[in-house]
Amino acid sequence: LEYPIFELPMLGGGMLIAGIAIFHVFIAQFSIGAAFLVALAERRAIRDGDADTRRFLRQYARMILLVPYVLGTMTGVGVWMAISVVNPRATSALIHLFVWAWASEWVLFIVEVASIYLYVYTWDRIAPRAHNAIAWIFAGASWLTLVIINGILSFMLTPGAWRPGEPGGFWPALLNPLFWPTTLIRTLIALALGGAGVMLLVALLKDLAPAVREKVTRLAYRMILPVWLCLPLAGWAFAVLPGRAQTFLQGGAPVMVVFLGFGMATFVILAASALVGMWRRDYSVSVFRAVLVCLLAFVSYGSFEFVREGARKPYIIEDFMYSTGVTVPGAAGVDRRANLTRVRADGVLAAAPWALPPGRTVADLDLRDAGPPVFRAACHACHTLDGYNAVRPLVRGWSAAHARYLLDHMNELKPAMPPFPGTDAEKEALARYLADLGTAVRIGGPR
Amino acid sequence: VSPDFVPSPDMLGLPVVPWLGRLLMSLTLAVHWMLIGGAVGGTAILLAAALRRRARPDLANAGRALGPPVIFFLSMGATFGIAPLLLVQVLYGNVLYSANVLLAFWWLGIVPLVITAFYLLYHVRRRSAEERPVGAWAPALVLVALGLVAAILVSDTLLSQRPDAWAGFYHAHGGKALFVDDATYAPRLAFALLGLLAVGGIMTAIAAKGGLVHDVQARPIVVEAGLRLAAVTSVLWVAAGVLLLLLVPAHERDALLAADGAGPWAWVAAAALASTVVTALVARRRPSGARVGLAAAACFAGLFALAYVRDVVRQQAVSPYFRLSDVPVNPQWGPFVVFLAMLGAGIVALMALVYLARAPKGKE
Repeated sequence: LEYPIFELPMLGGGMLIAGIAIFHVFIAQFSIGAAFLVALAERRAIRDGDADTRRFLRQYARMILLVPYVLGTMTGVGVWMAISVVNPRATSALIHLFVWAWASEWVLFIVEVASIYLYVYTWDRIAPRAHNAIAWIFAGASWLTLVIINGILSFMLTPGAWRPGEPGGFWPALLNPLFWPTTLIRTLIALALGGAGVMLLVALLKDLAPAVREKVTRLAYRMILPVWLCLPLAGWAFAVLPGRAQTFLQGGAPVMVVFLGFGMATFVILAASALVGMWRRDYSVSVFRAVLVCLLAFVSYGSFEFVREGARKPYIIEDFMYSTGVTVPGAAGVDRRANLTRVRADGVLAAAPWALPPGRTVADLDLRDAGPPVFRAACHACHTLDGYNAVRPLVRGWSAAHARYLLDHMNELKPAMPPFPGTDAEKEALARYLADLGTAVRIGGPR
Repeated sequence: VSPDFVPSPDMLGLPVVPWLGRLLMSLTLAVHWMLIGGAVGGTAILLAAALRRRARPDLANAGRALGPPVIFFLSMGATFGIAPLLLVQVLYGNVLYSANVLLAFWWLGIVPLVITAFYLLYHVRRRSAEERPVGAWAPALVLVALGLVAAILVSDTLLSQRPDAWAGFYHAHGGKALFVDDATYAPRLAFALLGLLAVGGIMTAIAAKGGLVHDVQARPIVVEAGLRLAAVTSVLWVAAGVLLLLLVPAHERDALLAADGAGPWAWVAAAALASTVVTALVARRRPSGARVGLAAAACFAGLFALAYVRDVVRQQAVSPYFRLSDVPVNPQWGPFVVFLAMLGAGIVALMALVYLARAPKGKE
């Protein structure tokens, strides 16, 4: 609403964000875990006078730290670029609320860049302990960036005591109910990803000295093992979720329940595999097993992210802004253009001039012409016509009356859908348009 | 254009008083330009070294030492870009996001372009470290990638100041074209690219003088190459600036030079850029650390003034649709103080890093 509409054929904006974000979070969290692993391994190697392990770390520091770091940083910017074109109103609200949190994170990014380059390019040029101290600074700064961004992401699901327009809302928003459990979950997953990634690297290096292989793999196991703590932490997170999100996870949204189950199972399997490896002193991990551990770590974090994103529906910011960009009636005091109360009175198209055909105004449109613009304004944020989350197959065989009934009761019948944000006439126009879409895919004659 | 097409400012109001936001934005933008200039200028020297490796073996050898500082400049430059990007969203998010969507496919292309530049520079660095010849194609492609990023950003900035052009552009291209339908686009882009090269020459010389180039023998050659680049391109930069000034519509030029608008800052920028040319030429003749530093200081002053002028021009351009002064301000002083504390801690951490990086090898 308000803004020009970005149309990505087939994929849709949501899929674009998901694609970049999955890659980014995976790389970024791996990078944080790997930073701790390298710092710890180097400290032990210095303490034990272990030149072989230091040589391994030196050889692969660039591969473990620098390459993922650059990809992680740039794709992080990519996530922001994508959300700003797909949902500018939500991006704007988050930026205006959390600008100083992001600015603080920016300071940490600068420390990260300086430390990672110094770390990689000063091997054997400076005293080993000084070199190791640089690794700890990098790891610490990286982890703090996770803490800050997690505060913003968890706010979107549990805004807690924050109320739009009320002064002093920054702290309750950042330190929201989900902040602590998800910070700990993300930290544990980051450590597990770091451990799994290094395990794969070690498995791929056939000519690595057995002693180095053993030390690094043992450390990787120790970093993976605590991931089981995500189980009780997930329970804590569940307890502070909004009631609607809890019902999703209790069977209201079967796909989310499946992903939650996947996540829980992978936490257990990952921790168990590390425990068994440590118990059997199995430090010669095959490439297949290492890949499997990496995949499990990927599934564990992916499930966590999927559940977090899914549980937020129909909101993009819980109890403030729906995924359509329309704000809840309670925000009428701050949002004078695209608040639900307002768009229901004035029409969604009054707040979405970019959805109109070129040269047309709302007054020009009749019932039939208004369908596609209403679809673009009210549905396009999540749905495509024929691609990802496509509407056309969903409405196959629908009559206008059926569509109208569903639009009338949209968020009662489907709690993940926001309420229809428009006038009765717009609803009728959309119902007819959806029925037409359904007819177009039907083989045979008229309904 | 109907004002309906211009989104309203964010409903949560400004979390910072406008003057502070504008100051911080201009300051961090100037630092961002300096660092990205270092990456662009350093890459241009890498290209020259690759192209002339038979005629200038000394330059080719010096080029081998330039990879790490160029990568560092690009990393730091990209990171420093986050701050002005944050603040421009806070101050002008409604027009910025609109321009981003109108150029969506290009806008989203910035990240892959920068990642490509990074990995090409890693390729150059690795070839250099292995003492293998560096092909000209890699630095040339880096310059193409970064030049495209500049072209996208210039287009985005220009479009964010032209709401009158939005509707036609949107319906004609749907986010798939760059906005180049403005007489000032080409001179703006030329001004930006020449500026990056001029700044980059100075930053490369600073990097060599400051020890970022590890090979001691390479340092004077890098300094000489950087200052030569700066001397030539800074003259062209100023010429492009004059051309740009002549090409903007008369009412915009008058507004730009008006005493109650950007005028004083525009003159400061002009004076600082002229000083950059002079100091770069002087430093090229006698490249002492102080002279190179003076050229860098003049350059930074010029960029800061330019960033501020740019902000005033933007305000004037969008004033028919919205005024910053009309947006409610809900300053977040507490979080701002925490940010300042974090900034202080970050500076301490950076100082600690410099201290650690100088720890002699034998000393624990």
